[in-house]
Amino acid sequence: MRSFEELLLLWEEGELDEAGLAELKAYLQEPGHRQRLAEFWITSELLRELLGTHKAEVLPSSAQQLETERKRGFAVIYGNRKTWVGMVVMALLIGTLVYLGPFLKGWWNPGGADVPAPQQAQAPASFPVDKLGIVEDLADWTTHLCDLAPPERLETYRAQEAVYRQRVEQDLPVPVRNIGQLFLDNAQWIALQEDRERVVDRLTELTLQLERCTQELPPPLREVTSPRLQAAQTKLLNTASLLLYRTDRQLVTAKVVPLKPGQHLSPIRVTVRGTIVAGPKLEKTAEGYLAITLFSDGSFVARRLGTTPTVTVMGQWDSSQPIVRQIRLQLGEDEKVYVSTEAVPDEHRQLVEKILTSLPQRSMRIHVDFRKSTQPSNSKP
Amino acid sequence: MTTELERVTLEFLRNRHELMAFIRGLVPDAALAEDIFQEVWLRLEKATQEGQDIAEVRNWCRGVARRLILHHWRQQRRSKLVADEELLDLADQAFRESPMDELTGEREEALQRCLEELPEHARQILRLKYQDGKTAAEIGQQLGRTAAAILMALSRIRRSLADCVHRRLGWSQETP
Repeated sequence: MRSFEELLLLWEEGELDEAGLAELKAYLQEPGHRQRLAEFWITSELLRELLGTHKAEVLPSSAQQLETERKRGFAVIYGNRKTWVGMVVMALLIGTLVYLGPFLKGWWNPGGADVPAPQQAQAPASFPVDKLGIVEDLADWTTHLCDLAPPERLETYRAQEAVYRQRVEQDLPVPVRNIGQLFLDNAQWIALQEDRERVVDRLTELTLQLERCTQELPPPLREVTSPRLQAAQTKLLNTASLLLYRTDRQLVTAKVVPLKPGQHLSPIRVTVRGTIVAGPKLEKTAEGYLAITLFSDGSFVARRLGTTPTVTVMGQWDSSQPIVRQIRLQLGEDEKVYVSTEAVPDEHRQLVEKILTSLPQRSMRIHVDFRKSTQPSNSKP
Repeated sequence: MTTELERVTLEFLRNRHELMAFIRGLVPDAALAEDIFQEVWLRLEKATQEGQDIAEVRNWCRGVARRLILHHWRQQRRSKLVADEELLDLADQAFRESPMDELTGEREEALQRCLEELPEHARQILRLKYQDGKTAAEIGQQLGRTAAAILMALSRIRRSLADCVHRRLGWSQETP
């Protein structure tokens, strides 16, 4: 008889045969083995999480230590740990930060402007570490909670967020708790946000912020934190791509609503017939991130994300030319919808044109090949 | 209603690792598992908004996940093992009997420490399996070993990790 772990591993691999399944079920008649099954699967899940985000081989042990301590301290804020453990660890963390203080001096305030308050002066030391942990939490929250939206709480979070964002944009020091709060607010904002596209935009924006953060780090600290920052960026982008895919999948319907030039649906939703045949994949460009999705009926959605304004262009291929049906410009809370490139105000038209220029280069070939070989589907994928 | 929604949300979040472990244990496809996980959340939110009294959020969510998994299995007629309800019941029972997982945080930390204690080749196998999502055959190919040898190694590593986590959490070897 094979060992219990072996059978569980075979099951995990999808390679368990019927005899193995019978053995596994025989084991599971005993409470002790049932307990081991639950533990085994929980450990598998934790391993995916730990190994997916914690690059043990590239982080020196001191950084790992600091990260673990940060996690403990951070958890206290959420109240899921014993408070005294958190306090002791926070004390350790503060001690470490004081020790690292001179080493980090000047990073957060490269222009040499006066740092107004002692609390703010402590900010740089823990910023990268705090931010990373919270961004990881953020990615989790995003995936799991993006549909939750009690509207009455949105305004409060937006107001808080505006203050922090302004400070970050002006390169002002942000108190350590507040920088944590900035990302927590982002997580909360995202958790409360109904529009997935705006969530994706926020994630790409955060990715760009992380990139800037990496560039600003002094070299020794950059070496330590770069892999973590890159891992966080990858995680954010993967989450963004997944959300975008789900958003685009929702566009697909069997019901065909023909659009005429000059006509658009409200809210901005072009009805698409068929399935997604390519994309969306977020690609970094000089103007932020570009994501293009192609559908089997020849429709496309192209977005420029991560910078202001967010631009969404929707349309359809006609022979070798993309025909624009809708253009959406998102500037903060303000959303504008246009039905042709010419209708877009001069200051933003170039952005739309750049997207349209990228479109044939990146997607024509896929589209043409696809249309040769496949008929549009009438059903939901 | 908002307070009730907050309560169930917090409860859901507290048990999310356990719920995801249950789903991933039975549905290896990561994207599908994620879809089921989200569907559970949507149903929980809807039920709360409709005024349903959900006292045991943890069990309620697992029950919904169980039905969704079963539904998926029944649709997957091509899979090797189709809709084995008995295994599903046993897994459900296993999670129901396992202590309420308030210790996930401690367990995660203990696991991280235990990972650091492992020799590099063992960590490499774990990374290939749980970070890169490779099968034993693919790992074997990469490391010049057979799939069976990798499975044996993984089995030993997982056992030693479990022992280490038990030791760190002060659990006995038999009963966590």
